[in-house]
Amino acid sequence: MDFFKKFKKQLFLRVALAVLFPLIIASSAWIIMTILEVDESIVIGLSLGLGFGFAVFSILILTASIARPFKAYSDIIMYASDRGSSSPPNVETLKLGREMLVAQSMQLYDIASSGENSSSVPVAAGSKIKPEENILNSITMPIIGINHDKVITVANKQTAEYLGRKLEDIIGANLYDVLVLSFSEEQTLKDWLDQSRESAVIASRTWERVRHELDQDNYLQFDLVASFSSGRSDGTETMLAIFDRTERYNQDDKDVGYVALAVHELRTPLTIMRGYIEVFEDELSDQLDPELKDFMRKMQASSEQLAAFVANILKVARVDENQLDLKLREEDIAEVMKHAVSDLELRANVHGKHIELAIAPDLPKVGIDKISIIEVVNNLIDNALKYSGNAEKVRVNVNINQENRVQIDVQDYGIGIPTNVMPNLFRKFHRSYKTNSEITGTGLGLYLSKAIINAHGGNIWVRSKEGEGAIFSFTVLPYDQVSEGEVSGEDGIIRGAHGWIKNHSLYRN
Amino acid sequence: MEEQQSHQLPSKNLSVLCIEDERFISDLYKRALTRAGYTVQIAAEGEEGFKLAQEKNYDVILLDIMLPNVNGVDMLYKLKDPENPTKSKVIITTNLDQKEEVRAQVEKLADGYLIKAEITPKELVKFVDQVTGA
Repeated sequence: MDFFKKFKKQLFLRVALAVLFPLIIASSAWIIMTILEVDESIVIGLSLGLGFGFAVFSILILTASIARPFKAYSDIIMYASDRGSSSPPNVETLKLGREMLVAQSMQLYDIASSGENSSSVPVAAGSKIKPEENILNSITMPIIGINHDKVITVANKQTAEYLGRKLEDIIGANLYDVLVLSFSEEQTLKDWLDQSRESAVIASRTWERVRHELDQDNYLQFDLVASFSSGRSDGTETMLAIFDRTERYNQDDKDVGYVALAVHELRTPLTIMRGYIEVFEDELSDQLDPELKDFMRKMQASSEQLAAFVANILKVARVDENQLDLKLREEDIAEVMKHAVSDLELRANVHGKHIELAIAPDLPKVGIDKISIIEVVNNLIDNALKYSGNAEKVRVNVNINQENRVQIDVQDYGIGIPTNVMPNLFRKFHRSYKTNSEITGTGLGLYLSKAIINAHGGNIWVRSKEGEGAIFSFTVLPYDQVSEGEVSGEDGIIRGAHGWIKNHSLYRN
Repeated sequence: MEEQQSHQLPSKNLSVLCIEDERFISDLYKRALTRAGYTVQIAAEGEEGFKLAQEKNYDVILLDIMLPNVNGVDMLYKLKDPENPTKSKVIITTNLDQKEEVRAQVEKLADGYLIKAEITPKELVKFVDQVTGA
């Protein structure tokens, strides 16, 4: 209240000054002109004119002076509510009401940042919204805050609308009761939160293509941004922002679904074509001149490529539906690689290229799903052949690495990969970086390869310099490492190749 | 004809029933299997195939599970009925992806599972050889 008294005193002085100043000017003029014996009518006119003029001047000054603290108030409120003002207004230069404003702005900022020391603003019977929630409600995307126990401490009305639930049911509930999340990346929200708690004070992460299951067949799809901060006074540990992408991602999924449906229709004619080509190859080759024989091989290579493409598309559709199970068995990697490479030799040869296969001796037996690993090798070598340019050689190395895993490198000596596209190579629908007509691709081969290798417990990566070719590498585990602690049934060790990983829902510690 | 005969392997005394509605495919399979020494019977319809399968003891039955009017999976269950199972080895041939649960059941019950688009007739022969131990 002292601030207010001081403000009143300052205001009184200014008003008094504004009233007295034109009076003094007018009286002074009157006296001076009377002494100088100026004509009475001139004295009256000039004095009144001067008095009026200075009165207007005083009023203008006074208005500006009184308006400044009000303007500052408005700026402070705007800044505290984070609407448009990016820096706090400077109240230090104010003359009128400075102390009052400084004190009150501190209080306002405090309320806005913590929401604790404030008297709440009632908005509806029984419910009270804290000022920070007013701020959250003004944001157009769903925002959720959770505490250490994953209980939702705050959520805006957009969250309620987005999820089709009542805000009262959301706040106070466990996050995983409200959101049934699946992630297209290996690290789920739960994994990341566990990791952040152990190692970070503040952390943030973005996920693309996150799903929230509404029921068995329907889900919302969005990008999720999480911001973790330990030890906040209000107990909210992590803020989550949801960027809805349901329409766009559903369309992508539908595209794969439609393509898979259409591709099924290709299988029967493909079976027949491959069958007859084989008959011709077997029984006619000897009778054909070299040119026709070459045509035959090209036809055969192309039908094999088409078969591989069809298999790829259908597998991706299965991965996306979490419908692809792999059967890991004890296999001789050298035999598998020889098999895979021999399948592709024809394709390499008809393009005037050859595959050089180098296998280190004494490799351990590996735990793999042979057919799927052949598909991965097929995809990598097929890419290497496509991107080889004029280079004739594609090199495949099979070694054991320092971590005692079997590593397969597929190296081409072609055009290489620009650095900026490398991080996206293994994502679904990442299209060929060279979009000229000679090189085509669905962008699904590497995505599928990654899903398969991850399901094996291995890694897949790429190294490349533009203009100097690329090396795609992946690792698989020796069988004794795979089988450790696993139940190996008649069908081997079953692993799912996931497009979607469920956020762990056993949250109650 | 003589040229073809020279490719013909001696008879294996093994019989194959190919239940397949796609004529071009059954022709190709019959040709390849016959040349490898198998005796091959084709059935283009499910009911006819099931009847033949019950009447005669084929060594191998190639069963397309996507047949018009007949559910191939049901037929497999009937053929492999634990009370009265057929002595024939049953190899499923398909071009349609099954849900993983269905596929796992089918694979467990059958003696083999092949995606037709992913094999050539020669590879089919190799597979049948393996299953019969020929």
